[in-house]
Amino acid sequence: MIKTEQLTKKFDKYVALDNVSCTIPDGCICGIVGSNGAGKSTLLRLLTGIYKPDSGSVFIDDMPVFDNPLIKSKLAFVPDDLFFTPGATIRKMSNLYRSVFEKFDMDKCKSLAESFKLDIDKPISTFSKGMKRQSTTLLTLATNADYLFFDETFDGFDPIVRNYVKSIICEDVLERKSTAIITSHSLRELEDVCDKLALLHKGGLILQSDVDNLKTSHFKVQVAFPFEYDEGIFNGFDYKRYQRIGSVSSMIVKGNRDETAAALSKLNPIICDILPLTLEEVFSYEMETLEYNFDISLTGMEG
Amino acid sequence: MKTTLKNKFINPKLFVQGLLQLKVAGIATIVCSTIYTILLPIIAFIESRDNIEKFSLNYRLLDVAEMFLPLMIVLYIVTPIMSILLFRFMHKRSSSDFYHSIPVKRSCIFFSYMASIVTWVTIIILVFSTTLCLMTTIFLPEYILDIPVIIMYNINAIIACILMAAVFGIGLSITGTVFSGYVTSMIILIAPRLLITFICNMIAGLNKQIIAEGMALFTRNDCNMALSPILYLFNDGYYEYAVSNIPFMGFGFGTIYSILLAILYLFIGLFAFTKRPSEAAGKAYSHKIFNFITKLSIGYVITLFIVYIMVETEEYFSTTYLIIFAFALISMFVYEVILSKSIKRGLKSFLSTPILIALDVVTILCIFAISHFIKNEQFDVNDIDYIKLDYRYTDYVFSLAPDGNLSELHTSGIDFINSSTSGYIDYDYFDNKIDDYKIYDREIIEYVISAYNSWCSKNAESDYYEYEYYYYFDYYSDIKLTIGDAFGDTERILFLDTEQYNHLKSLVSQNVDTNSYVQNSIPDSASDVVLDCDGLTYEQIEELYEVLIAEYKALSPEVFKNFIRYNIAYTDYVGTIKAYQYVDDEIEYFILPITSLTPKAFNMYISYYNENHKEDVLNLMAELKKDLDTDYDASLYVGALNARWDNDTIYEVEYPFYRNVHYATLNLLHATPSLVDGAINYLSGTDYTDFSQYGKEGYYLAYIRFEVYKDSTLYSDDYDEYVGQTGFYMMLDKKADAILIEELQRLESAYAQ
Repeated sequence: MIKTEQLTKKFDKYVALDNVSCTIPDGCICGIVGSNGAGKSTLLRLLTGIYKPDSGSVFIDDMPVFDNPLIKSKLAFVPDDLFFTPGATIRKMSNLYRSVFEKFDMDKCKSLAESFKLDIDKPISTFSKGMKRQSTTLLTLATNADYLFFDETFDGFDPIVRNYVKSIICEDVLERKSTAIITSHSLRELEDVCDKLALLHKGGLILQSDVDNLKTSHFKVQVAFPFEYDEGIFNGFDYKRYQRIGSVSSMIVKGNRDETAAALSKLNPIICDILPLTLEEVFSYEMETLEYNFDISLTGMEG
Repeated sequence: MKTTLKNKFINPKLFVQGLLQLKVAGIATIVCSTIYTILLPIIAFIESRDNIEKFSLNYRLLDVAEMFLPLMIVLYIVTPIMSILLFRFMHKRSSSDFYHSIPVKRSCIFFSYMASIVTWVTIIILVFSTTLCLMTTIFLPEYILDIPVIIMYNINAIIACILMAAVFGIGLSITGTVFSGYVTSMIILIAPRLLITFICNMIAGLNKQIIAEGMALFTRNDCNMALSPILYLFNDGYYEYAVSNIPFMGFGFGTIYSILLAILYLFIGLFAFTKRPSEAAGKAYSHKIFNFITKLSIGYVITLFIVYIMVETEEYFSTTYLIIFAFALISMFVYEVILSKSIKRGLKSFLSTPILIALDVVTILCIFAISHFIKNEQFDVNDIDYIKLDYRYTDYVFSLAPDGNLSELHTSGIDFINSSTSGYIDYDYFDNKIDDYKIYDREIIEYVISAYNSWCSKNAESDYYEYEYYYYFDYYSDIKLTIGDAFGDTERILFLDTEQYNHLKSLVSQNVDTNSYVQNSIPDSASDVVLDCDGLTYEQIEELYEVLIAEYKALSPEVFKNFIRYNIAYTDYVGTIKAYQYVDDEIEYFILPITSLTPKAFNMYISYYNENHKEDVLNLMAELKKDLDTDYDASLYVGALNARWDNDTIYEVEYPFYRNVHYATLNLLHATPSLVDGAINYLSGTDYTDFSQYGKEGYYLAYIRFEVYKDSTLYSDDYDEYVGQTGFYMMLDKKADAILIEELQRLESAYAQ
């Protein structure tokens, strides 16, 4: 389990991460979303022990991470800025990985390279941006680390590769019960792969929750009644963004879907549609709940 | 999983990765150095092969200085490049993130990569020195290898490289770019030693009795072995101030100091490396303070020249100072602009000006304070246990001869007895050997300390006491004086006038202990030295050497003392043995004359010489006879001598032969076959080998040497046409002498026709 407590990191006077406390259970895929400069990469570097926190702490399996090889042997990291030694090929890089990661699986590395259609003896410098990212991804997966960290990993992948990478990450988590933490500025990239989602904004952790929970507990209701009514009729519902056009009212309701449908039907509506929400809409709703003046269109999260 | 030792200090797999990453640099260096080491002996072999003859090999010790250039390249180019190649990962965000995320402690990364650098450097040096030794053995058999010295030389070079790598370990860890890393490393390497050297030289400039390098143990230039080769090169022209030895020689204080310094720097580097934040990648420095210190150091090192000139000239205002100071500020500005790419930040460098001035003022005050203390220093004879006198100290200047004349001295060759034909006793084996001998004689100590204190008092009263006399005229001599007391050794310069100098030399040479020490200092075993002796095989020379030394040592100290004070021209030496050895970390040879004072060696030498050469003379003459149609130039040299020794003193050396000179040279150009036949018959048919008659009146030891050149003028430098030269000894009495003279005259008259 990954746990952070009051985690703060500053770069000179700039606060990149401010009092972030969170918990990521084992065996899940956790997405961290946020706009540019939100602190996603800083958080990952703190979680992987690259940066030393200015205050607060990071624990993985109840042990501190920074300069701790015991814990770091359980971690593998795909950074946004990729590293290859001069003149490296996948084979040479795998030798480097093998020299530091005891559980590195060369067969898995070759197999993944084959599935990515990458030549392991070809200089990586000749690869395209996407192929380079594929190379680091497959090397990281071949470490068989318990905790896998991916920073903006899907950038530069075409849709097919993106889906394939998602599938192999899921496969790895399912098979080995590993934990994956993926950052992205695009919520849509993560919603179909993550179990948990966290939202970072301006260095602060705004929200973290299970994706299923988020999706099932929030829905859009469109309802019309054969009589004159006002908004007071919805007292007792947890809703936001109420709008009325003519006799049709729409709102976002948080709660149990069946119970809400039953309660509405008791009011004898002539129209009653309960629609699922996209994650963006859910996030937007939650932001308002938390009284954040948060315009999702400005964060780049609309995908 | 427990943190194992391998994960704490060195991770073997990461170490191997380091080796692989340095593969290209390492192999390229090995290839280049191997080419150098293969070509060097081969070229020397090709140049010398025409001149190599059976008995004319000049055996000598391979000077480890042959390795100097490639080792300098390894130290100053290869090691920094390797350090940068392995540690530059800190300067790029991607690589910095990678290395800081791997499951290896930061200290382990540091030590593993340091080990990779040291391993490559060691491999390069080992391959290089082994190849050089092998190629020298194959192509230059006259060079004898002193393997322990070569090993020691290479170990010191490796220590210097470790020190260099440690310096770069610090420099690269506290900076964020290769440029700032390189500049900072250079400052860490140079600035402290430069500061020490400058201050010591300034103090020595104010106090002529001070040896700049000898002020303290750590002020010696060889202390920092990564820098000592450069300091040595700069010091070469100022040998009178040099205390430290040739770089990489000897396992002395320099080695210990360099090891300790390397360890200290390694741990500072480790601290900087482990504490370095990964986010510093790409920034000029990990912390602003390091940038400030480096920038200020650049300015301070430059402005030290102002301090130096100021102290030396006592001129406190000069436009030169302004120019140097401006240059220092501009350097700081340029450095900052290169790093920050910001003119604005560059201009901020000028804010350091007051600090720079303050540093220079403090430096000047420190120098004057130390100088004042030294100026009033006096030694108390009662506190002194021993002294050491090094006459050789003035090697590159002049040494004073007892009669007031000056003789320029040899730096590496020590004649066992004086070879100067002018007959002055200057610098000989005795003087050379006592330079490291502790003299406990109270009379000598009192005399020396009294002379020293007296000079210092006069100097303190009036600055630069008779300065001009000591440095520009020949009335004074300076000797390196080592004073040993309870606190250790102190090195000073002792200035003596002619009278004092002669008196001191007399006191020392009359001291029985000193003489006995010198006599016993000659190495007994031939295996302790490398020998050369013209005309003998190496085995014969070794045998002869041990016989000769045994005879030398059997001489009474008085005889020995007198003997080494002779001029070699006035003895009856027939040959010399040149013995090479490392003394005070440099190759030194001493030339041992073979005279009839050591009769066993004298006879052995003649016997071996004749055994090796008599046949050659006859063969050479036969060669000449076979091909008389071709123009041959040939000459026959005949020399003869006789001497009588009265116990310890030679009282007569005679050169009685032929026209009242001790040798005759006859040109045999266009000799007829009959004349050559006559010479062959005479020389082969005569058996004058009763050398026991030597020394008796009427007997002479003659040396017959025969030289042949083909199609060339005699004594031409055209060695392609050189056929050969050889000779042998004959014992002549007056009758034989008459016959030989007759033969020679006959040959000479034939030539005249």
